[in-house]
Parts: sequence; C-alpha cells; structure tokens
Amino acid sequence: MSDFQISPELLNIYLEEARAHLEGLDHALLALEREGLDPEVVAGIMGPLHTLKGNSGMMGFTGIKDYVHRLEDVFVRIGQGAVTLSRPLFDRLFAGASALRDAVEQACRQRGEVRSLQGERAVLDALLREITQRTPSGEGSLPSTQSGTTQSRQSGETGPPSTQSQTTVSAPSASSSLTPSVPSADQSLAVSAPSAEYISAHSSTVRVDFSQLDHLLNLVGELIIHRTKLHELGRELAEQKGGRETAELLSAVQQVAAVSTQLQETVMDIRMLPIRHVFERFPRLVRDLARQQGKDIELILEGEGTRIDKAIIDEIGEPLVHMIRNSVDHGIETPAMRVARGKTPTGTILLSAMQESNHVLITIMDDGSGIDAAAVRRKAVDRGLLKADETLPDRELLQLIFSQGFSTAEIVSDLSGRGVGLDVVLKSIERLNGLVEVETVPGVGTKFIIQLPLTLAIISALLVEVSDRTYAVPLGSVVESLKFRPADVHTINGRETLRIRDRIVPLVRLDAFFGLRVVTGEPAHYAVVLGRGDKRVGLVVNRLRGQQEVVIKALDPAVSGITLALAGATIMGDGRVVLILDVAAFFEGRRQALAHGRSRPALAGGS
Amino acid sequence: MLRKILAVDDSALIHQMYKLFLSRYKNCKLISAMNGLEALDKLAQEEGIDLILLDINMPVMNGLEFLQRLQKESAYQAIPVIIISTEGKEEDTIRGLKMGAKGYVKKPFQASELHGLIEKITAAG
Repeated sequence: MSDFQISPELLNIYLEEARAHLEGLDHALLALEREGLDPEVVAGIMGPLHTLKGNSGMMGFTGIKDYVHRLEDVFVRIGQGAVTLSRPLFDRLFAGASALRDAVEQACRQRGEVRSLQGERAVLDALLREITQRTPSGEGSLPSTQSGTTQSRQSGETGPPSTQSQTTVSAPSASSSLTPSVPSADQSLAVSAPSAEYISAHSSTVRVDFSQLDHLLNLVGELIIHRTKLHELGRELAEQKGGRETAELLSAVQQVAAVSTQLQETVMDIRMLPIRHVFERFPRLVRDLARQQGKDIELILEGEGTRIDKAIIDEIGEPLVHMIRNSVDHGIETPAMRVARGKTPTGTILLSAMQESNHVLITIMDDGSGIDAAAVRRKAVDRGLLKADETLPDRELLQLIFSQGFSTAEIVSDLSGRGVGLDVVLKSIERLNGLVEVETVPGVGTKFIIQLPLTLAIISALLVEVSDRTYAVPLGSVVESLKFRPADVHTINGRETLRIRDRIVPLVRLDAFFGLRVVTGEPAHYAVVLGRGDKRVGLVVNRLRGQQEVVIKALDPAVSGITLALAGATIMGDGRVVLILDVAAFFEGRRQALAHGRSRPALAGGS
Repeated sequence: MLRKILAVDDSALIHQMYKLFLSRYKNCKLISAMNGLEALDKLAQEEGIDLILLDINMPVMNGLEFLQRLQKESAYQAIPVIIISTEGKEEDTIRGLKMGAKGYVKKPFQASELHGLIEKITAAG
C-alpha cells in the first residue's frame, strides 16, 4: 500500500461493502444452522467472502484478509460435507463473525488494523486440522492457507504461482495465443454463481455522499419557501390589478410550483432506503439472545422492502433493538413454560413494516406472555403516575409502560430478566415525529405498533399565532382546531378544560407555557386540538394562520427536544424564523399533571 | 495507443481504486462494469475499448464465463484481457490465461504493478 493513500472515501466504500458481506455471512450461518447443509447457501457466501478478502487485502488489512481466507477454506469444507454441522461449530463461527465485524469496524475508524484476529484465526486453523484428520483421503490439500507467500510481481513474471507451471503466460505477442483451447462449459461454470440479488443494488448506480443529498434537500426546502412567497405576492398582485401580464405571471408561478413539488418528491425518493437495512441485523440478534436464555424463537420478517428516509433508517435501529430484546427477554417464555401453557415450544416474533399513506408502520408482535394490565396499574400507582382511585381505559393504562422508570420486567407474567426502559424507546421514536402504541392479551402475546413519518425533512404544519409570535404545529398531530368562548372553559381539578362534543379536553395556554407576555385586549380563543392515541390536548392560541409545508431545520439540542417542547425551526418566505412545536411534550406534561394534580403542565422537565 | 479501459469487478472499492490508479494514466477513459453481463453490454455500447481488466469472482456472470463469451465474438477477440485475481483462486487464473487472457495481477496490487503490466501487454499488442 505504498503508492496510494487510504482516503476516507475509500474507507467508506470498503466499510459499506464489508458490512454487506458480513451481513451475508451472518445470514448464511443462520440458514445453515436452521436448515442444515444447503450447497446453494454455501456457494452463495463464497463470492462475498472472496470479495471481502480481496478488498481487505487492497486496503492493507492483512489480519482481516487472512482470517477471511481461512473462513473461505472452512466453507469449502462445509460445502463438501466434510464438516459436521454442530452447535459448537456454529458457536465458534458466529463468534468469529462477530470478531471479524469488530475488526473491520475498528480498522475503518482507526484507518488501520487494530485487531490482529490471531486468536480467532487459530480457532479456524484448529477446526481445519480437525476436519483434515477426519478425512484423510488426500483431499486434505486445502487451497493455500499460507497467505502472503505469493505477492504479485511485476509484469515480467506473470506466471501463475507454483502449481501447473507449464501454463506460464508472460504477456506474449498477441497473435500467438489468441485461440487457446476453450474449456468445456461445465468446467468454467463450476465457479460459484451467487444469487443475482447480491449485486442488484450495485448495477448502474452512482455513489453520492449522503451529506450532498441533505444539502440538495435543504436547497429544495429553500426553493419551496420562496415559491410560497412568490405565490402570495402573485395573488396580492392579481387582487390589486388584473390584466394579461398578471395572469401570465400567475400561471408561470403555478408551473414553478408544480415543478418544485415534483423536484421535492424526487429528492425525497432518492433519500429513501428499504428498511431491510435495519431489519437485517435482527435474525442474528434474536438467535444469540435466545441461545443465551435457553429459548427457542423464530423471527419472521415481513415488508423488508418498505422504503423510508435514510435519516430515519439511521435512527430507528436502536429503539428497535431495544424492543426486540424486550420481546425476547420478557415476552417469549422458555420452551418448558410454553408447553405448560399449551403453546408450541418455539416462540415467534414477527417484525413487519408497511407503508400507509404518509407513514410507515412497524409492528413487533410476539406470542409470549403478554402484559398484565393489573400489574401495570399497581406499578403506576406506586410510582405516582396514577391516583389509586383513578380509572383509565386499558389502552391508556398500557401506554404508561413507556413512562420513565417503568421496568417491564416487573409487569410481565414472566418475572425473569432485567427491565428495559421503554421510556428511552418512546423518546427516540418521538424525536422522529413517530408514535408507538401497545396492544396485549395476557398469556397470548404483545404487539407494538410504531408509526413513523416517511421523512423528517419536510412536514405540513399549521401556523398559529400567540402573543405576536408564530409557531408551527405539525399537522399530523392536529385533530381539529376551533374557536371557543371564555365561558366554555371549565376548571376541573385545578386545570382548565374545554368540553368538545362529549369529551373533556385539557387546555394548555401557549403564552403561559412559553412564558410570553400575555397580550391584553386580544383574547386567546382558538384551540388547536392535538391527538396522540386516545389522548387529546388543546393548545390555546390567539390566531390561526393556515397550513403550510415547512422545511425542518434542526435546532441545537440544547434548545430543542421534548423538555423545551421544540422540535426545530423553519424559515418563512419573508425570512422570519418560526419555531416548530414538539407535540409530544404536551402529552408528557399532561401525564405528569394527571399524576401530581398540578394546575398547569410544567415544561415536562426532568422527565 | 490506449484510449479506453473496461474495468469489470463486482466491488465498488476496486472500481474506486482503478479510478485512483488510472484516472491520470495516459488520459485514458475508464469504463466500469459490475459483472460479465454488464461488461458485454458496455462492449456493445462503447466503441474502441483497448483493454479489459477482469475480476473472476463475480455474481450474475463471472469472469471465466465472460472470457468464454468474449472469445466467441470476433469483434472482441483481439482486445487484451488482464485478469485481476485474488489469492486462493489460482486455478481460475490459470484457466483464464488458457482462455486467452494476456496476463494477471493479484490483489492486493499497487498502481505501479498495474501500470507495468498494462505497458507490457499493450506494447506487445
């Protein structure tokens, strides 16, 4: 590696490809463990391994290259049926695959190999020796395992290494060797031909750094902002003076609007990736966790092709890992307990994704022990989240498991294991403008449904005005907005509420919430009703300013997030910055108010 | 006179390396294909390809299958092929050379090695 630099770009490409190859390795191992020896599975992994070896060599990652080389040898032997596919074997291979993954990730972070993989290599060497001893029939001559012995030479000696030296071809004159004997087809086809899927993602594609797509989307956002402004001006002009020119201007503006909408859709589309990128890690995770806990679990994946913005793909992995872990740890019972309950010894977890209009729904369903609502209730009262005499519908009650400090270990019928804080999951999902709901039948199973927006970048918002300031409320959370008279407001339990049809909706005065000067002489008498599941909260504002597509600009985490009830900011056509509300904060506030009987929701701080 | 090189490999990393190694090499144009089938398409689309750098281990259509197809087309027979091989598949390299490839370089290779072999082979042609 002396005559070129390992640039960050090369590292990125290497890492991306290596991850795909390693994912393939995990899948091949899982398939072999589950289904037994399948020559197609073995043949399918040889290609990716070989490429990974070559690429690692090109990057100068010799330890990784050598390890993959051994792994190839092992798979050759597995393919020949020379290896007994046993649990200990898979444990060794899975451990090796994990070590390899770590080594690759580390090498890319540190721009050079850190982990030698020597110990792991020794494990494979021992394995290969065992195999060779068991099959002494001369087939022990594995492909050359000593690496580094045949470094490529200068062109002068392009003879192939060692074996069959009579076929040396050293760049002879073109004419003489033009028509060598073409080998029979079966001979050349013997080289593995892995599934077409493995490569389909590569063909006729262009590599673009994601930050460029972010930039592009930002530009589109700006364009849409100015388009809106242009549109407003055009309309004003048309009202003041008609005429042919004005009409033409309006029509041109409309065309710009149509094209920019298409442009926006196209850019969004480019940013979309199949959710497979998130799901593909789970078969391995579930296998390892189930093994640790002596459980038998089948994970079924559905809708892996469902596409969602890459920014969401990057963020949703962790919460999903949390939830899948939760299902394995606390949902699915041990085989013995399942049999005792009249279930199959093997538990099932279904992880599925589907698109529904502007959202993606991710479902995690298990046929485990379910959640005991009575236990949730006790716990909620214990923790002061619920008054002892307060009744809540089961659906809302269950939602309390997402509160902070609510250990699920104590509420599932199966008391084993440690609790995983679902509050962390809820926060991550809400940061993505998503929702999560839970349904459960004790003894039968639990279903979590996560609803995510297709994109984080542009949302439809309702603009509201309070104390001379404008805020944007994500339209997805707005159930309705209405005008009310001061006399309609009733104070219940020290809290202002509004009766809307047959529902009591608690109110939040936005001016007081944000500590704004209350403008006298202008009564705040519009309520924007937000919905989250079955819950409702009414935001009291002075005026409604209409709907608009807004481009979300991230705020510094120090001044945004659920604690401050701000999700971000956007720039208006006239250059003003408008803050976007984080709707979740108002429900968090309500929950706390319910628990502590506060007259007014605090900023949900410290939650 | 070297004008167009067709690089056939299923790894984006290797294509990026070719770009680094060959972009300013004698002002030649680099054309990329991710497998043998794509390479045949590129040969049909692009006129005057003077050299092919060929990986063996590729999905869809591997390097040996590609070589076989290449030899059947009189229009392409004269285009010199360099096999880019990876340790452990020596027998495939040998087979490729028997099938008409003019030489080989083994991964990991350096720019100088690739340049050297290209010089030698194109000079001979």
